[in-house]
Amino acid sequence: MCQDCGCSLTTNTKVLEVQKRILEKNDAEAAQNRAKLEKHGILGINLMSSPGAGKTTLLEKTIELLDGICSIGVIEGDLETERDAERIRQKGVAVQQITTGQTCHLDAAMVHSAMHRMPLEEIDLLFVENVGNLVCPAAYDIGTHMNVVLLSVTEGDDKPAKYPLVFLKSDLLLITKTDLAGVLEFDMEKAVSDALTINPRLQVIKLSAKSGDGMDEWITLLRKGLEDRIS
Amino acid sequence: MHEFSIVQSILDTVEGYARQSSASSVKRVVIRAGAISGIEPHLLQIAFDTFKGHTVCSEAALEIIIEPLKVECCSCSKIAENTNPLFRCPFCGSTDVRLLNGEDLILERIEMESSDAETQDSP
Ligand SMILES: Nc1nc2c(ncn2[C@@H]2O[C@H](COP(=O)(O)OP(=O)(O)OP(=O)(O)O)[C@@H](O)[C@H]2O)c(=O)[nH]1
Ligand SMILES: [Mg+2]
Ligand SMILES: [Zn+2]
Repeated sequence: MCQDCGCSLTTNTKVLEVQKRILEKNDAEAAQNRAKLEKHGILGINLMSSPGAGKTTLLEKTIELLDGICSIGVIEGDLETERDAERIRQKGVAVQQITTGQTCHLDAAMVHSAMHRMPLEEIDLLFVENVGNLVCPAAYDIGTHMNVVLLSVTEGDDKPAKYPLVFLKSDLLLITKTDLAGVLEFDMEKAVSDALTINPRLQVIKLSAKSGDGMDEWITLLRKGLEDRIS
Repeated sequence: MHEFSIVQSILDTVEGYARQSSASSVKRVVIRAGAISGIEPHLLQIAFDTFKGHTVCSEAALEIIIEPLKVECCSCSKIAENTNPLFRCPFCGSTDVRLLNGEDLILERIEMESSDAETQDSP
């Protein structure tokens, strides 16, 4: 008998044990992106951070420093404007904008369609600037080879403890705007040790795109990544 | 706030399973959310109730099982739950710990109804 209303219509309740990752489809699409990058010999890097931690500024400086060394492409994720893409375009590299509207992160499908619009055969190093947000982007694999999280000294040293997932999912932590560290009460040791507690495999570089401090270490890491890709 | 996107993925997946099983409606969707999976359970509930209309889940309840953070210490081999700080062994203080559970978002189970008698047995 039907349990809802007592009518005589028999209904069968069926319980299906699924046990599957909810983002399984995204993960499969991410794997496809990664395969496509590899086919073209491209190193893909996903930049994640809170709004304003310095992702676009870092990209501008990185493009200058890698001029003549490798060919760069950038995919810009933003809620609304094309401003960041325009800043990158000024630097003379290939750039595609993804405006996500209401969505606070990039997913693999969005990156896939942006990749279609890029001259992949000309690119060695593809940066994806994710939407400024310390929570959501970390849940989505977009198919790059390296996840980089930026934490600016202006945000406070408590962020790793508050937003563990992004630090867990990253390969590299960039502590940015170190030129401001003196004025702010940013406990560098605490931020780094909290992040390393969450993820002992995390590499850490402290830099300032403004003063140039630490940029050599970042550039060396990128060049090493590129060499490993080719060999 | 990616709860809306997560709900969209849940609805799409459930829709697929419901079709496969020729279900007429879905009564309950159970998911397991890790403590550090980055979703906010009450926002996920709101998102689910907002978007389930006009889908096979329109009458479904969403049950969210929060899975505590669980780590295994690589120094003393003990297992601990809900550690604070998150990745430090409460027994020996080592930070050399391995995450066992707590970051995943899993679609655990779907309870469906069909008026068709052949679908009674589960796979
Ligand atoms: N002092 C200092 N300011 C910086 C540095 N890097 C970036 N900024 C400033 O920080 C602000 C935000 O920088 P962006 O590069 O636009 O940050 P973003 O992460 O791309 O921001 P969204 O894309 O909006 O998330 C700008 O005013 C930059 O000039 C730095 O190394 N030192
Ligand atoms: Mg930016
Ligand atoms: Zn221990």
